[in-house]
Amino acid sequence: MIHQSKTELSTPQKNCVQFKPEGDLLIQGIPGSGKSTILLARASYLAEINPEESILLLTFSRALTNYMGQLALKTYNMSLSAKTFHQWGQELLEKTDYPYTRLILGENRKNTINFAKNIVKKHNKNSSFPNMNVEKHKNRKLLEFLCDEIEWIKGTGITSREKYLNVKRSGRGGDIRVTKENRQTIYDVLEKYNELLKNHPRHQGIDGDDLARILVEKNDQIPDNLRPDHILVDEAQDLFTMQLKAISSTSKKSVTVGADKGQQIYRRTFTWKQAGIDVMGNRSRFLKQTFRSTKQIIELANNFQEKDKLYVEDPDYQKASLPEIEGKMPELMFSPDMSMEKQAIIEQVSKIRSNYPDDTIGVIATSHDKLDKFGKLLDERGVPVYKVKEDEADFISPGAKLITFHSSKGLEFDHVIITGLTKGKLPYKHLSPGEDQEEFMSRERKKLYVAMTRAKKTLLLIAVKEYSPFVNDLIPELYETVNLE
Amino acid sequence: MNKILLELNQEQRNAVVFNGKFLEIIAGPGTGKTKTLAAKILYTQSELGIDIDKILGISFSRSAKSQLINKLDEFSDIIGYGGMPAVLTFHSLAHRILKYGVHHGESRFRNGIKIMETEDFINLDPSLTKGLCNDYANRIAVNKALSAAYNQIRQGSRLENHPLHNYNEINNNSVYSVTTYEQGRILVKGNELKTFWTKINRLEKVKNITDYQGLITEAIRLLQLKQKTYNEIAENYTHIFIDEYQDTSLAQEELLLSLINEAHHITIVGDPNQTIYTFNGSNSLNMKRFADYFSNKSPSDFSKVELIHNYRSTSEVVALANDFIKESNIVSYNARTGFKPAVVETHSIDLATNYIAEEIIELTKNGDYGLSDICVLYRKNSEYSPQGQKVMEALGRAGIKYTATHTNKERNVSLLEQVNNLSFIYEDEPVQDIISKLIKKNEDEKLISFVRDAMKQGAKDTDDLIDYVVESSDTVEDLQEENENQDVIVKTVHDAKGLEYPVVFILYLGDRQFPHSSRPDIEEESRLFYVGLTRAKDQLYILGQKGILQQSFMEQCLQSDVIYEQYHSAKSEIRDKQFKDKEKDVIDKTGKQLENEEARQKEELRKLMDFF
Ligand SMILES: Nc1ncnc2c1ncn2[C@@H]1O[C@H](COP(=O)(O)OP(=O)(O)OP(=O)(O)O)[C@@H](O)[C@H]1O
Ligand SMILES: Nc1ncnc2c1ncn2[C@@H]1O[C@H](COP(=O)(O)OP(=O)(O)OP(=O)(O)O)[C@@H](O)[C@H]1O
Ligand SMILES: [Mg+2]
Ligand SMILES: [Mg+2]
Repeated sequence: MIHQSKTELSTPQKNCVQFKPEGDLLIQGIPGSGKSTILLARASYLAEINPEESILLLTFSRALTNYMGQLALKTYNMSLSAKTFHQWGQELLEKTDYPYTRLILGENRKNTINFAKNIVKKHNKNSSFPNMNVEKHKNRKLLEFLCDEIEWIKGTGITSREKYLNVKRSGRGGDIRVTKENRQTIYDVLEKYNELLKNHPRHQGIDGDDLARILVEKNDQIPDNLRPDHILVDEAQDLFTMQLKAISSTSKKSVTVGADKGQQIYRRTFTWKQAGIDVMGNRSRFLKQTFRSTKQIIELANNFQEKDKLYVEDPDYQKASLPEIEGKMPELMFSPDMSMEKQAIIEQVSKIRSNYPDDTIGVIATSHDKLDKFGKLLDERGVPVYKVKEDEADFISPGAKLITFHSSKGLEFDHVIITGLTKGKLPYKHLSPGEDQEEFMSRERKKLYVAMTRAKKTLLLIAVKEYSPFVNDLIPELYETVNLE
Repeated sequence: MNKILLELNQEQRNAVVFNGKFLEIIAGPGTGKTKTLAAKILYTQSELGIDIDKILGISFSRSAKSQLINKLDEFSDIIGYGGMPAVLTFHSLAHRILKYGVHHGESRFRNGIKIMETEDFINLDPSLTKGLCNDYANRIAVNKALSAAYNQIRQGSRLENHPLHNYNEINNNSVYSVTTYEQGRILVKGNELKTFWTKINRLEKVKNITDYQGLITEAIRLLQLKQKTYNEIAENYTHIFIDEYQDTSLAQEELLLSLINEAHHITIVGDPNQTIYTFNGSNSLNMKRFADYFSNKSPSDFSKVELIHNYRSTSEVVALANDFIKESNIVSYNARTGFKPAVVETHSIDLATNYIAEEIIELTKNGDYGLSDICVLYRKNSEYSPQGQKVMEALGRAGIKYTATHTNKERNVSLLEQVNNLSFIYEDEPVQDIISKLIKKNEDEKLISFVRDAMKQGAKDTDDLIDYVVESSDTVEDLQEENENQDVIVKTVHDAKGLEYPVVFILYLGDRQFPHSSRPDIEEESRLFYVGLTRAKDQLYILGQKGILQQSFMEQCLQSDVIYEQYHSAKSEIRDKQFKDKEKDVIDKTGKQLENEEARQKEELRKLMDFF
């Protein structure tokens, strides 16, 4: 029997949609509680009551942008304008007098920071870099550390050496000691890096953090016709303070934010207030009922999440209430080697394709390399294979969708196969330099939690020898062990 | 001549025999615009007795030009007489005007002028951009941005509303925003562009060189002097016929208007819905401006002819094309019916090209079609969108022979170099002699075949040869004669303008692909797709995926009467495992419950909406 209260939008959900079209609104909630659903409903509602007002949906990843676009088409027959923050930011930047609009992101950014680091090392006799506390790859670790630290400094809006030297650095672990001298050097690198972004033929451009800052600073130069009346942000926990600020200062009427700190798989720290999102009073909602999965899947996922001591203590933590929908027990398969893993994937996909040819199957792995291998395998068998890293990915058509843990966030599939639960892969063997062990484990755990909560109907987990320690955190009463047929 | 007139329909015939001075034929694809233009050229010769030397045909590009020439050839064969008039592109016409200008001492250039790409000025003299756009460290990007801005203001596209002729016309306080691949958006200040232009002027003078747009700008200046050059040109060409007029730039339009006087007769043909070169300065209002201008100027001498019967395509293709642009300006002649267009949904370019290869084998198996009846049109071939590349790979894998007319700028530039050199060494020698000398000297095979090719099309001396390279750069395409080989043809939609094929494949629809780029010019992309659709005579295949965040051409096609096919894997699927009955029962139940939930939720949301 289906419980009566669930035959309609739950009351907190209703309040979110009905919220006055002006001002800001924060919707938090566990996976599958309907944050994205509400954002879409709100978009369609706003479009209906005020057809001439413009609406924009922003997200952090291209995959999610596409997914939301597809959903909007499917559920509301509405063509929703949806962009990633970077894409949108660059378009606005071009309208300002800031000269550089080439985005320096990812590997490019890393190279530039490395270049800056080397210059500082070479020319600054007194430079003092923090000790990385690792045996191997010291240099690489240091670079990663610097990248993180610079992102943090910029993302938090620190613009002077003075401020940085005195700021209390939260959100960083204790394994790397950062002295005052270290901070001086780190700031040297930051300054050099900024210089390269301004002057160097190969590195000239703008990074994601400056992009957000410039948009805030030059906000008055953004033409009115490019300012959306309403901006909706999904998975906002992945954005930085500055980025949220840029968003809230650009929208004309309202910002609606959907977020779940329980799914924070990048390193971010901020409060909504810092970000200029005014959700005081009753402008914030928390949804804790999940509508996506079966009771069986959520039980396993909840139980697994509770092992994360750090998160459970977080004031933002809310335990999901169990859904009413009953389903098949999640399955766990122990595979002695990779070839068995492949066999298991083939078998499961074949079953689903035979009985449910119109369903979607999410195949989740730790790397694109592995996904490519699985893709080839399934392709050989004539299964429609979708590689989600391609920009134009389609999430709704039937078939196997190959996706990494990271980019699975916000998506959902009828059936999910989580592969490669192997020691050293998940949790990953090296934690990021300077990161707290506990914090790191918490994030790795969230990754698996996110992946599990993508499933609507069935969930198969595949552990490959040496098994991931996370496997021990799944309690046997909540899953079925399976073997190859 | 009557034989030819009989081949035409009433409207076409009206256009041919119209005896006013200014005629505009405005009509959709496949309605016989080019055919009518060719007939009118012949009619002008044979019935009106106009000397063939007084006739000038102008077409947009080399490939469009060959369409017109082929038609003229065909017609002269039918009636057994009629010569080939000069058929030029605007660039080669401008080059010719310059020659006269030099001859009369009215040009700022001297004999033996060399043409080059704008950016090559900077290679020649790197100091041209020194001190300009100093904010930007990537000087290659700066060079490109300055060159692009310099071209656009002279064409009268994007950055300025009218073509500028002289650096003095630039407003110092303007800021031009130019997008480059290397460096994103670059801001070029008015005074910087002015300096750039001034320096180029000096360089051009010293080295006796100019660029393609420089030809047009100088030709306009010469004509507007109204001196000897003008007189000679205006007298030489009294009857002017222009094909694909919708894609002329504002500067080219100005050239035309500067050329004519009371004695001139002009016929233009075009289709605003096929304007696909706005990035090069064309303008979808071209046809309208022409009509407005001449109907005001001399109402009694102006006429506008519209053609509606499409002779090219089946009624199925015509219906789709009309639906797509939401107009019905063409009607299939005789309601010729055939196959419905096929819209094939795939989710990757690889699958799409695979499908094409399989289908081509199918189509040619029974001899219904030869390989050369088939053309594969792609939107783009770049690192990020390797559509052309993938087509060629798939055809190669399937052992299907193909000819690709690919864009190859470098090749053209070096050819330009070589031909420029020829004009020094063999000045005033007949082309026939040059060929034998080149062969004797064992010169580059490609150069020789180019010269041969040019001779076939009427080149007589080295100056003519330069005319021909100038033209081939208009659509930077390979110079190989197509259809010579019995191959499938692979080319861009742009390059297929004005052409027709029995079987056409178009790929690859979808966000960023077609419409192309992350911020596409939707209007232009739609027109381009329309051009693609209307190339097909019998069978049309459209491949790609549905657009999600951008306008979905595929969805639009599916609104029409087409065959919708889904092709999501290249092999037939193996499904050799099943859930156990008990498992299936449980999953079925879950599915049911989720479905109910979703339906309820939707209803609830709708109620909420109505509530407001
Ligand atoms: N009130 C409701 N009744 C029934 N189903 C609902 C309701 N709200 C949401 N759903 C369904 O639950 C599923 C999950 O919703 P949604 O994707 O919006 O969750 P989410 O909070 O954005 O999750 P995530 O944090 O994983 O992104 C969707 O399939 C949606 O249709
Ligand atoms: N009156 C006619 N009778 C028979 N066939 C005709 C007639 N007019 C044109 N055709 C044929 O129709 C086809 C299209 O003609 P043409 O290429 O001149 O069209 P167009 O209007 O120039 O097309 P586009 O806009 O694509 O350049 C050609 O094969 C041509 O021979
Ligand atoms: Mg969501
Ligand atoms: Mg034509």
